[in-house]
Amino acid sequence: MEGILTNLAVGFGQVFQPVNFLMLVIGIILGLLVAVLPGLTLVMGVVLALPFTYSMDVIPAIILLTAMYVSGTYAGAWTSILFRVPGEPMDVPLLWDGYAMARKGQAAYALGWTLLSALFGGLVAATVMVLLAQPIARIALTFSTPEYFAILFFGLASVVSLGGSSLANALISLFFGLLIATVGVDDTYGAPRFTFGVQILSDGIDYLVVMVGAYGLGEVFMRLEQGFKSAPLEAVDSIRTRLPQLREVLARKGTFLRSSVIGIIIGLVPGAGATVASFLSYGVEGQYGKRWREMGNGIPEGIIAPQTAATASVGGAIVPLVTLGIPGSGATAIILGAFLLHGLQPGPQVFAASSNIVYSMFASVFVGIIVMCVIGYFAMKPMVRVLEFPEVIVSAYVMMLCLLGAFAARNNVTDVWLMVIFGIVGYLFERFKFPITPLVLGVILGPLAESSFMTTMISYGNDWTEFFTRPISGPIMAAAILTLLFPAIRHLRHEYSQRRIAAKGRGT
Amino acid sequence: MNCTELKQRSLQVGVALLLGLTSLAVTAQEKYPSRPIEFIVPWGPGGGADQLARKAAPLMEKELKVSLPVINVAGATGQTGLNKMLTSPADGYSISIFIADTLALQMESGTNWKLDDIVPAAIMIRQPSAFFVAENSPLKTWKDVEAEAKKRPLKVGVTGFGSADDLHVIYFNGKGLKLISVPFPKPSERYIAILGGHADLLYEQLGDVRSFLDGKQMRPVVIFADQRFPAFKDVPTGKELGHSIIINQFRAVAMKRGTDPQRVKAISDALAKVAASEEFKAYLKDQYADENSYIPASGAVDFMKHEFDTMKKYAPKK
Amino acid sequence: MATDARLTEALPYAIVGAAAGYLYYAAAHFQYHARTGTLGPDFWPQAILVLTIVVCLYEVIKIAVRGAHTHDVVGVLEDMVKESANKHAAAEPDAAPVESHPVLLLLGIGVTLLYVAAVQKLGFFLTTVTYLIVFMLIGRYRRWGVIAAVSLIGTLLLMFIFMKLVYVSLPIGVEPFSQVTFFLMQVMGIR
Repeated sequence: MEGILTNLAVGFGQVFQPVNFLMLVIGIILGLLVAVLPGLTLVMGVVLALPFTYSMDVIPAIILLTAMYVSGTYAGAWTSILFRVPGEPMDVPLLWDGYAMARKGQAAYALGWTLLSALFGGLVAATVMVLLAQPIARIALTFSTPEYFAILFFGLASVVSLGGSSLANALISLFFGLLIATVGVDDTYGAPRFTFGVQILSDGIDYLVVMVGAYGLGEVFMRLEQGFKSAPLEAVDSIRTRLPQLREVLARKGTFLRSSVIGIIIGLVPGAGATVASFLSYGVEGQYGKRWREMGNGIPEGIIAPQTAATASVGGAIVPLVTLGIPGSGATAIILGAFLLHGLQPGPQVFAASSNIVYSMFASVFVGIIVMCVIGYFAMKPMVRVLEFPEVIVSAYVMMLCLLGAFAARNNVTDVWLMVIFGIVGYLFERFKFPITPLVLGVILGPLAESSFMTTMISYGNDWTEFFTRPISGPIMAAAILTLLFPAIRHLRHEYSQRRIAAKGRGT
Repeated sequence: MNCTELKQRSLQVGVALLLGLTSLAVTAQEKYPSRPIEFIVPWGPGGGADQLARKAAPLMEKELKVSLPVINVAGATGQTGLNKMLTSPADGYSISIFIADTLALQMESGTNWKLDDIVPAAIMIRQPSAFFVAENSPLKTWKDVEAEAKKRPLKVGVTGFGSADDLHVIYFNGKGLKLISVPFPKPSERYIAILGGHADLLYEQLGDVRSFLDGKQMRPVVIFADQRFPAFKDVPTGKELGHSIIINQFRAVAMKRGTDPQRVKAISDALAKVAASEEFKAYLKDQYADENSYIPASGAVDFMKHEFDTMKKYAPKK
Repeated sequence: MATDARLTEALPYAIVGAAAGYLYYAAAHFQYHARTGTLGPDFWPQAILVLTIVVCLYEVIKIAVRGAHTHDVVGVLEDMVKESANKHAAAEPDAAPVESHPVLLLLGIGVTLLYVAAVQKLGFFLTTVTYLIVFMLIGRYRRWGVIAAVSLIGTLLLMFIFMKLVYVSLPIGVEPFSQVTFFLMQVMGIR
């Protein structure tokens, strides 16, 4: 415990160094702007920021991206409440009560609740993150390749069973990602795979290229097809924030705590991020909250639940990244990329050997949340005005940054070709309702999964039961298989009960 | 920034552009170098090749008076970066690190480049390799290893099949030792494997595991070199034990074939100055490298050919 | 009619499955030095391809047997999200009929592909400025002054950042276009 506090103190020391603090503030502002703009998702924003961190030291680079991630979960709420424009998908639940409050003339009050929720959820999750990380990293140090494979398998299983709309589509998307990762010269044998004699393919496909293409370019293509039309903004006479009174806050402490816990847990699970946390928390509040009947009519609970959970998911999502080296979401995957760019493979070793980097990241979450709330309180008005910026210009710059990101990935024009191709793939995926996240996580985690699988098979003489019989990997594998089966079981039960209802209906 | 200001600025830029085009003759590329030289590292940041480039680049900048930005182009055991250099014009504005692992790929017939495609400007660093055990392993010396490997198969952490690491394992298999290559493509995984007891032996260059050696977590049991290494006087060389296999991990700086010899000379002269500097000598020492690592351009081709023949000698016969 | 719907729904899965089958065949012909008793580099991709084929077959059969528009097995949380979203559908922004401009899309994709093809010849600066202008025009934006300013300033700024501050190997172009790049590099003090 004391060790954690000393480490954290060192981390705070790092964050308050002038350059690092500047990066933190820049990151917060960028994250807020990205969250306000509906055409720029949080993940896209972090992807586009990555090339700028190439020449930075590792600590400011990580702080910048972490700060963007933190504040990206917040500002979308402003536009949901004020203009009925959700800046991010995670802000949709804020329309239900937030905008309803604004219509009743309580916009300032609604914004106050938002600020408090982000602050509370963020700080609680950050504390939990710090407390959880060290014990998990310590356990992970004893892991060998079978355990790693089991964890990756679990991660990929939960990506599929939690996230995507159709299980079959999510699986196909994931498999496609895993296959993309095998293109090129393989690590173990040096054998060319799926290269078809093409030079571009034999260099392998960098996951950054896939990410930039599928998340960035694909989205712009989608909006281009819709003709870049954004709804005209409603006139809002004053934009200010009125904080609720302590008494009101205390009366809703259950909602705050419940939503924080949901956010943290959803963050910890790979594949589900702030969006799922936000919707789920709203749903839970609507079922189990004290004032569940009034949800949707513009009550503070309907703001607290989604916003607290969304910001809390950040702290949760950072834990598997730094302790296991496994990113569970798009944004954490890019932060992983920033680590890799500086020659660091996150995981228990980095946690132990470069604890100053990890704890600077932790400290930046705490400081970032507070800075974000301060900036939000005083500078909301100018920030929401970026909505008036023509979308076509924003999109043109996004395209340019995507192209630059592809150049910067490996300094190769071949990567730019691949990036554009994956942009088209990303567009087709969205068009035909295939989820993109399993694809991207498949590309990122595929090589890790393959090498831990192959190494296990080689060192244990091709005995695949090894994965199931070891004390740690066995239960994880079992949990992963259950995770995969769960949606199918739910689906069958649902169908069965519907058929019974139908049968009864016919009976009477 | 208001609109007129923007217009004004864009006008200025336009005028500047036109001026630039008319002054073509003045800026013609006669003097070399007159703009940044891209220093390609065909590996990710943080590794040995990257460290060499980042050490050499600032020292070369002093000699050449232009910047040498280091760019990492990782992939395909160094071939992605090599291809970037080979597809750039042969004007001397891209140079690349070239290492033994990439050379070893020439043993396969399928590569799309030949050793003749490149001109080495100098060999900069040569590091001896060794077998290591974890400090807490029951195996303490090479004798222990030999005895144990006759009883049960020992797992050796290597980078991949067909690598120099693997050739050593195959060599000792031929000598009756039961060693199994277990590939861990990422260096960190390889080190964890031996520290965590998931593998018995590790093949690596001394310099790459320096922090583990200094931290008394690993120890070498046999070093593959001509002479005992000063810092590890008690560790026998392979030669002493009757195993003359020596495959150096070398890192060279290479240029594209067809580059003006004057330009190659400019680079290799700069590298000679680098190699002679105190700073670079300290770096070699720090990396547990051979003190006489540097080989000038004249001898570099023969050295690489010799290394390649050695690798071929120990490669499994098809 | 019903067969038509089934066909259009099953077709993508059939195509993906067939492609996976072809890739499986390709994976069976990887060139490598086999080691006895060790899985080859073909094992992992082949395992994934088999799983892909299984999923596709399942979907095709399901659609064939139970007809189009059957209820999909969906992710757990997605289910819950949908449930709560349905309850509050009224509060969502009015679903304005989504416009569709396939011509704009094709132009956008085409000009992006052209960009990559041209950038090595013309160099980063010239290509990017042109691309930005054309892209904004495709996006039906017509304020020329803004277009010119936005594209010139943005490109110059990024070139400065990514050649002076962070060095990225941006394409210089071939003669005579490379002279523009060299000139800009001189102006920016990149040497």
